[in-house]
Amino acid sequence: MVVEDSQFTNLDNPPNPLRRGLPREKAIMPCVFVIFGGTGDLAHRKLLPALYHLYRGGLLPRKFAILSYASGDLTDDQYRESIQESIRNFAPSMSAEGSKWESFAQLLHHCRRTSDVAESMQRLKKRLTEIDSSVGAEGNYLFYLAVPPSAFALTAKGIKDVGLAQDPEGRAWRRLVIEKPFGTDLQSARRLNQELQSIFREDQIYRIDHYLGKETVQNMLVFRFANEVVEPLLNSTYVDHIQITVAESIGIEQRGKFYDVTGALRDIVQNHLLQVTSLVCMEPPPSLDPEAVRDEKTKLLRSIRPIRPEDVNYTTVRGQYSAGVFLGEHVKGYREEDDVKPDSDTETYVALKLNIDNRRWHGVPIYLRTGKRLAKRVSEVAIRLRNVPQMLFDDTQAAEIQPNVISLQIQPDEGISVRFQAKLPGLTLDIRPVKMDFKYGAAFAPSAPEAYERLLLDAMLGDTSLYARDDFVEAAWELVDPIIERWRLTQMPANSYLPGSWGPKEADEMMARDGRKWRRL
Amino acid sequence: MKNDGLIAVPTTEIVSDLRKIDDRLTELYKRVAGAAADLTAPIVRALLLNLIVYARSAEEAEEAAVNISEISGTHPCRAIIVDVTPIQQPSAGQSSEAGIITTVCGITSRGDRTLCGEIITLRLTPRADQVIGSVTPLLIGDVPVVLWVPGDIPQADPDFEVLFLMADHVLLDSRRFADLPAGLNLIPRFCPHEGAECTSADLSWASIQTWRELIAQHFDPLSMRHYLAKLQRVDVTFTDSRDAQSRPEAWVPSAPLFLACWFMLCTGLQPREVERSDRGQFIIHAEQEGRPVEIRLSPTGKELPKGRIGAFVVRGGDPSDTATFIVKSVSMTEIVVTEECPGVCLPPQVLDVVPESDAVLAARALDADRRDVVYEDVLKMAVQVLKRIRS
Repeated sequence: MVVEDSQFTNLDNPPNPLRRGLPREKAIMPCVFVIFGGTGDLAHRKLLPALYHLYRGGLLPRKFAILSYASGDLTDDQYRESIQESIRNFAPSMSAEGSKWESFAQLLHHCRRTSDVAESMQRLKKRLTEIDSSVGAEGNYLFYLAVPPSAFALTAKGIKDVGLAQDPEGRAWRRLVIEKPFGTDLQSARRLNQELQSIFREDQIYRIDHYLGKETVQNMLVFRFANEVVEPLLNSTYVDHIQITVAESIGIEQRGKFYDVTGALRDIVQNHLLQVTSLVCMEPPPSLDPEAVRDEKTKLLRSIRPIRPEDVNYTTVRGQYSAGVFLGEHVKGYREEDDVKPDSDTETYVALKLNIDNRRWHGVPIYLRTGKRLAKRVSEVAIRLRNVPQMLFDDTQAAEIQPNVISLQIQPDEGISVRFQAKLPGLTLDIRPVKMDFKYGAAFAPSAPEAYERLLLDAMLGDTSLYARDDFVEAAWELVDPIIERWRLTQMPANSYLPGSWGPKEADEMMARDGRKWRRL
Repeated sequence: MKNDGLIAVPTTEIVSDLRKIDDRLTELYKRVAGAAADLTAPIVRALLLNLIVYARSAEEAEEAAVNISEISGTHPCRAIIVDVTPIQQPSAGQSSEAGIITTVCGITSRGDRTLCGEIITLRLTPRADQVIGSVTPLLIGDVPVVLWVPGDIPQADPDFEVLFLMADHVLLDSRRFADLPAGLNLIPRFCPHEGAECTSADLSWASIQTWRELIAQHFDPLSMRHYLAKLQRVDVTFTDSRDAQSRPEAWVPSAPLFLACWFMLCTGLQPREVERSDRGQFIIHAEQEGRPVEIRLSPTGKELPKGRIGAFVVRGGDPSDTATFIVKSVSMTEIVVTEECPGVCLPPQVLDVVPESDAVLAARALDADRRDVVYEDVLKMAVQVLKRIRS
């Protein structure tokens, strides 16, 4: 995307006239990227490799620095070495040697956090001011909280207490980026929003959902609204139902402590799946302005009919993977995983049925499913169209006709496919379903950027399109909370399923009750 | 353009009957698949566009084939090189040659697929009916047609006209115009006038994108913006491209001229007069809100390919607060960015840049296949500047 006249004024004020017509991605203002938890796993595995990749691509501004704030007692050089090691390990395709690395390393700084938080924050401020003066960041700071969610509010308060949350002269920008989970229920999400908004304005808060950084998720807007062949079909006249799947073949890995108190509904459905649902089903926004898109997404979420307590047991399914064999290898059951209670009832699989109460989607169920240790790592949106009127074909032929399916593959092979009917070559009228496939990998040789790169770039550019807004987060919890509550009250069990399967049989039964089936992926 | 990891597996065959080209290509792909059997990345024949190259010499045709091979990993296409060099009749016993087909493949940067496109070189007698009858049937339906003209824009050339009518997008290269003012005057025909569907791109304009970005970056900090409003002088140097036969106004190559015009356009500089010295220097006398500002375009040594920009230096501000912003090419792959100013000035920074071959520029121009209004405005100003030259 290039800087157009209309967007031009949004980047900075007064605008840089030389940016007109140039790629928007390279128009980042000078800034300091401050990482709270700069020595942690997220910073080492994701954030710094993403920033390094952006740097290598010439996408970071010249006047730029990265400041880590964490408990490790490291000098700048030691911090640089540790990041170099991480890039070697976690992003081996990029060389962490030579002049390119050396110049990037000079951007990295570390400030130690001690048990005296107030004093540490003062030191952080001093360090930040020094770095700003040396690089000319002009007071633009992005605070990335790579810390546990329980520390979000406290950290934000610390930023405020040392006077860094707002630029005293009102010329520079200050932004706060936080990672999900945004609360554990509606109440805690509201509390978190209130706490953060008492310090930062909503337009300064960037709630990251890395799923939205994926190319195919972003392509949904293009697919729907730039193709007249698609959008007119997306309504109850033509669509029978929609299935959205986020399947993982891995287990919970080292996340037992977090996962056992979270579960699949909170971990995936409340954010990723509802984000994708909103993009697939929302009305066309009046423009691609971030707020216009976010308005429509939230509106869609608010149109989803809350599941009545008495329906929860019929329209939702919980599952938990047992021990078993996955592709020839014995794998542990969920309850045998590290940091998981041996009698845990946490769900590692969820399936649910949603209905949208608006004119477009009336009577079109949306089925969501997600799980760990399923047969494949695959995420897709499948839009199943209605059956055709069959008067043209006799019973045998009609039985062969499968409904059209438009599927948007999010991972691992990003692409779009359409299933339609074709006549089998020959003298008889035999009908077979065939698939028309578009694969990103085959059509566009350059790889899609990592989701984090896109999102970090957008945060520095001040583009909130791919970030969750407070009302969306709360609306999502409003949908999810009653389900969790009903599960708790009725002690709805997590049905066991085998690793490598597509989840518990109860999920198939839920579909069968509606006369439908899950897609085999 | 990412070209890392591309492995070319070219396979070529001479075809004597153009009607058999598709059959022969199918055979050729089978061979490519066989030759690449040990590759882990599956072969995908991916034809995203038709790329017609209008070559008026064997050299242009050969060069085009090389360029297309280079971009096949990122822009796999059906390329049709229309070589209208006069054909020598085959001698007795020699088979007649109607075309050459070549498959060009490259592994994607992710390494999971080998994307293949194809080049069909047609040696045609310059006759419009032959061009239309040979090229049209070979075009892949429903994908864009791009026409690449490597050199001067042909005039009153019926072959070219029929190809132009097929095109959705035209790639030009004003760096290669023998007569720059005349060539630039012809470009508007390819720029879309209101309502026209065909768009055009100029490789010369594509070649200054990195320069524009680096110059713009100097002024991203708000504290630097005011220098743009009080410009004192702009210097653009370029490698000398003069030869004895050059007309005076042709001495300034298009890339530095575009860069100067772009900068003037963005900063509200109005050209008033253009002076040319015997040493090949051009001085554009411009005005910014009534103040005179000089833009000097000066030829320097010949270390870089001719016509290439060597440096761009902007000086601005009040006498008491003057700053200089410099972007300078030090080699084919390195550019140094530096500034001298009263505020926070960073030390010189050396940036790696991708050597901008024609293939790289063509790939960039193919990606930007839409109307570029900034280019159109710059082109108008460049034409205006050339008209104002006085010796």
